[in-house]
Amino acid sequence: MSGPGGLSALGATLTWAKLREVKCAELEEAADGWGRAGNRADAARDRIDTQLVDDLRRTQKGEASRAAVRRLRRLSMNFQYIYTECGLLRTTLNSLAHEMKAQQRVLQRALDDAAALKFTVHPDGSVTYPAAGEGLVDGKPLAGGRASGVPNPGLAGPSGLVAPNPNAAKAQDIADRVARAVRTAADVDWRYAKILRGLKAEDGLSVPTATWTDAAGDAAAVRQAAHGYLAQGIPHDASPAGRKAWWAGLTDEQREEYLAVYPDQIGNLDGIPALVRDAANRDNLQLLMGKLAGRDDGDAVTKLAALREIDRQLRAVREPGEPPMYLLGIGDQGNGRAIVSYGNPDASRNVAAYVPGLNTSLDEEFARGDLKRARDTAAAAREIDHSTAAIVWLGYDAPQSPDGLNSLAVASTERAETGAHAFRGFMSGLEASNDHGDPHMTAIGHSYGSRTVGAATQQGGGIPGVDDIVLVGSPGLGVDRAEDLGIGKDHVFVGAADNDVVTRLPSKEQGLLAAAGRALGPAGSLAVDVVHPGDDDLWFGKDPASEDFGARRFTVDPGPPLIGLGRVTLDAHSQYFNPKLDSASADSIAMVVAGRGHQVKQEGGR
Amino acid sequence: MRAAGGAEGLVAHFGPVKAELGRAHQGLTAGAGELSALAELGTVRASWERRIDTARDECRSLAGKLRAVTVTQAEVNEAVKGSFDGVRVAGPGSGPGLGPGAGAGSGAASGGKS
Repeated sequence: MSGPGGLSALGATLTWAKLREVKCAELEEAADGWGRAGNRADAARDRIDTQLVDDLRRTQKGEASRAAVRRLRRLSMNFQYIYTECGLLRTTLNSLAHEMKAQQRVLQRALDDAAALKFTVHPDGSVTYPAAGEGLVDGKPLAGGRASGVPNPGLAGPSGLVAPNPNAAKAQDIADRVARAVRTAADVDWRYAKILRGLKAEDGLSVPTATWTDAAGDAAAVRQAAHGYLAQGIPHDASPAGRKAWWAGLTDEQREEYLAVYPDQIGNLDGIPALVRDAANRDNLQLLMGKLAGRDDGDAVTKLAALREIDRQLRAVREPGEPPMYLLGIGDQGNGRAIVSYGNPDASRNVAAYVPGLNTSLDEEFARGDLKRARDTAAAAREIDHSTAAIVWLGYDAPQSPDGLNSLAVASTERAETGAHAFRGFMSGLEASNDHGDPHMTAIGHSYGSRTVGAATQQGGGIPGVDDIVLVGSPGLGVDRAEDLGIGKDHVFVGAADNDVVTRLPSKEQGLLAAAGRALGPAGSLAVDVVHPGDDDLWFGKDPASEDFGARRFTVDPGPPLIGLGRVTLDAHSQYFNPKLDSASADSIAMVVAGRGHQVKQEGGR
Repeated sequence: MRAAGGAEGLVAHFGPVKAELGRAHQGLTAGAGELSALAELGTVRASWERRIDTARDECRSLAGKLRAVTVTQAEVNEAVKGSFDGVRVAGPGSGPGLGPGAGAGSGAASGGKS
C-alpha cells in the first residue's frame, strides 16, 4: 500500500501554520469555474441535440449532410463527457474545501484554547505551558514544560508517569488536537490529489467506451469522497412530497452539483420532477454503460445490450406525433432497473404505469418489447386525450424461471411484496410531482406484475393516487374480490385471452396444462406451475377474469392456441398491448388509461 | 445554413472558457497554501483546456463544411431551377405543367428534354 509512505512524507511537510493558510474560499471559487465550464458544455450538447442535428436533417440530404450529422453527434458526446468531468472536478474541489475547513476549525479551536491559557504552540505543533500548582514538599509552583502531540492519542501507550503540573494535561490535549487536525488534513490532501490525478482529460475529440468506463470510475471515486459534503443531504427518508420540496429549495449551484455527482440517486428518487430525473438518468446511462463495458461477465453483457438499446431510442429522432420519451429510472442492481415514460408524467392529466411480470429483467428483449408496450399504450391513449403519459416500470426483481420452480414459489410472495413497496413509492412520487391537482392515475399489471400490483393495493392505504387498475394475463393477484383493491370494483379492468394458459384456472385444464408445460420445457412448466400452484391457491387467489371476482372484463382476442400448427406457443399471453395483434385489448387499455374506462366494451366473466 | 451558424455559435460559446477558468483559479495560483492536490490541479486544468480547444476547432471546421454543403446545395437548386427555366422558355405553354412541387428528379428529366 502506497498510502502510508506517501502520507507520512506529506504529513511531514504539512504543518499547522500551513493548514491555517489553506484558502478554502479560493478552492470554492475554482470549483465555480469548473461549474461554469461544465454548464457551457451542457448547453452546447443541448444545442446540438435539440437544434443543429434536426435543422441539418430537415434542410439537407445526401452523404455530406449525413457525415456532418455524425460529426455533430460525436461533438455532442464529447460535450457530455466534458460536462460530466467538469461537474466531478467542481465537486472534488468543493468537497476538498469542505473537509479542509473542518480541520481548520479543529485547529483554530485548539489554538484559541492555547491562547486563552497563555500556552505557546510551536511551529512543530508542540505546546509549552507555564509553571502551575504547588509542590507537595516545598509548596512552590511546579515547573512548566513542553507537550508533543500525537495524531492518534489512543494508540500512544501510557507513560506510567503522571505529571503533577495541571497545565501538562491541558497542553497535551491541545497538542494532540493540533497534531490530529494536521494529520487528517494531510490525509485529505493525499486522497484528493489522487482523485484529481484521475480527472485529467484524455486528448482528442472522440469518447470511446473505455473513456466512459474511466469516467464511471472517476464518478465512483468522487461520490465516495464527497459523501460527507453532498450525499448526506439527499433526503432518502423523506416523503416524496418532502423530497420535492427539498429539491425546490436548493440553489441552482446545489442542484447542478447533485446532478453531476449523484445522477444515480437523483434520477431514481421518487418525488423529484420528471424532467430532472430524466436529465440525471440520461447522464448516468453513459456512466452505467461505461461501467458495464468494463466487465465481461454474462450479466454485464446482457444489461449493457439493454442500456445500449434504450440509449439508441432516446437519441433517435422522434417521428411526428410520437410521444416524447423520459428516462425516469435506471440502474444495474439486481436484475436491473429501468423506468421509461412516454409523455411527460408531471405535465399529463392521465398517468399510467405498467408493471411487467415473470422473467422480465433488464435485457434487450425488455428494452424493445416492454418499452414498446408502454409506447403503444401512450400513443393510443394520447389520441383520446393528448395529456397522457404511459410508463413501463421495471423497479423490482421479477421472478426468473431459471431460479427454479421451488424458488419461484417462495419468491412469488416475497418479490411481489418487495416490488409492491417500491411501486407504491414510485406512484406516490408521480402523484407528488404531477402539476395537476388530482391527476387520473392507472396501475397496469401484466402476468406476475398483476400479483405485484395486487400486493401494492393491500399495503398501507393502497397504491397512492391510483384511480383505475388494469390486469392482463393475470395468474391471480392475491386478492379474491375486485372491491378489495380499494378503488371500487367498477375501476378494476381485466383482460384474459381464452388461449392464455397463465390466466386459466387450474381445475379446468389441469391435464392439458401439465402436458403443455412439459412440452414447453422449463418456461412452460413454470407457466403451469404458476396457474396450478398445488395447494397454494392463496398466493394467487381467484381468477380475476371470473364472474365472482367482480371486475370489468374487457374483450380481448383469444390469441393463438397453446398447441396449434404443429408447435406450442405462449403468444396469447403476450399480445394484450399490441395494437396490431389485439386491437380490442390495446384499445381498451388505452381508454382506461385516458380516463374513459366507463366506455370500455365489456364481456361476461368466466 | 442555420446549422452552420449554430456551429459557429458554439465556437463563440467556448471562446471565454480559458479566461474564465484562469480567473477562477487566480486565487489559487496566487498561493492558496501548500497542498499537493493543488499541484495536480494545474495539470488537470491544462488537459481540459486542450480538450475544449480541440472541440472548438472541430466546431469551426464543421461550420466551414456546413457552409460548403449549403453552397453546393444552393448550386444544385440553382441548376435545377435553371433547367426548369429552360423548359419554360423552350416549351410553349409549359408553365401549368410544372408546379412548385416538382422535385429534382423531374427537373433533371425536363432538363434532358430541353
